[in-house]
Amino acid sequence: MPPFTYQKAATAADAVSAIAAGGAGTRFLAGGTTLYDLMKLNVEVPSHIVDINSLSELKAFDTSGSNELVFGALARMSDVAADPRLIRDYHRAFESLWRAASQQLAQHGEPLRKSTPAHALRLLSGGEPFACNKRKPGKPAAPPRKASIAGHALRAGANPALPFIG
Amino acid sequence: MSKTRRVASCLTLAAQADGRQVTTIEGLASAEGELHPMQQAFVDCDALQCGYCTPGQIMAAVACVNEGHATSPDQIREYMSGNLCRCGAYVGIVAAIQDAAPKMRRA
Repeated sequence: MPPFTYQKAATAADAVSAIAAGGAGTRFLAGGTTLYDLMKLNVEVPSHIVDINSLSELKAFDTSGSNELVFGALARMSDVAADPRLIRDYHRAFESLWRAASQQLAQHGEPLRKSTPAHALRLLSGGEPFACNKRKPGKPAAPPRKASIAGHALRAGANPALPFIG
Repeated sequence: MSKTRRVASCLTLAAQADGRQVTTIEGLASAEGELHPMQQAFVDCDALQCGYCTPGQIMAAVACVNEGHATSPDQIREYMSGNLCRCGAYVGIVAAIQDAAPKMRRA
């Protein structure tokens, strides 16, 4: 992994100035479940990381209101899903959080508000666009996509046109 | 909420743990070498085959009990669902957690 610098922001103002001063290669770090994955695949190659996990004011959430629920951007999925009011009165929201990630990830610090840039999911490590094979309604299944599998433990070296047997 | 939180080491920079106390599988047994009840239960229940996933399984199992989420086999499966075992030792893992949970509560 290419080297990068790391900084822990103490306040929201710190975080904003760090991202503004850091330039294009600067990324916020919240739960890290997306950023680290993409860094290991060389899709994200940040030069500087601003850790915002200390900003406790962004972790707060309030479900006591009668007309609105307020969630900080860093509210953890597992904390929100354990909220008694959400479980009782907003069961669908509770259920979607409960099903969104395993407890290993939800408790690790998966934030409620994620920012996964769509392009990051569509680029191979060389920056080449990644063909989406999502099926369109009413159409036959799309042909197998040509994915980069060079880094995969079991499929490296195999013909990418072959269907994946997991 | 318990004071400790489980984290995945593959998703945590060492710098993020600066100033915090970290417990890994190596820190579970006593200084005299007596196994933690969960480690002993994994041995007793044959809860592993190749052992690759075992440190993570045991740390997650300890967290599962400490969080109060080991009250039924279904709940154990749900809270352990983020830890995969390619050998398929799941039956033994659930049995080990059920075995260790009351011993951990007594300890």
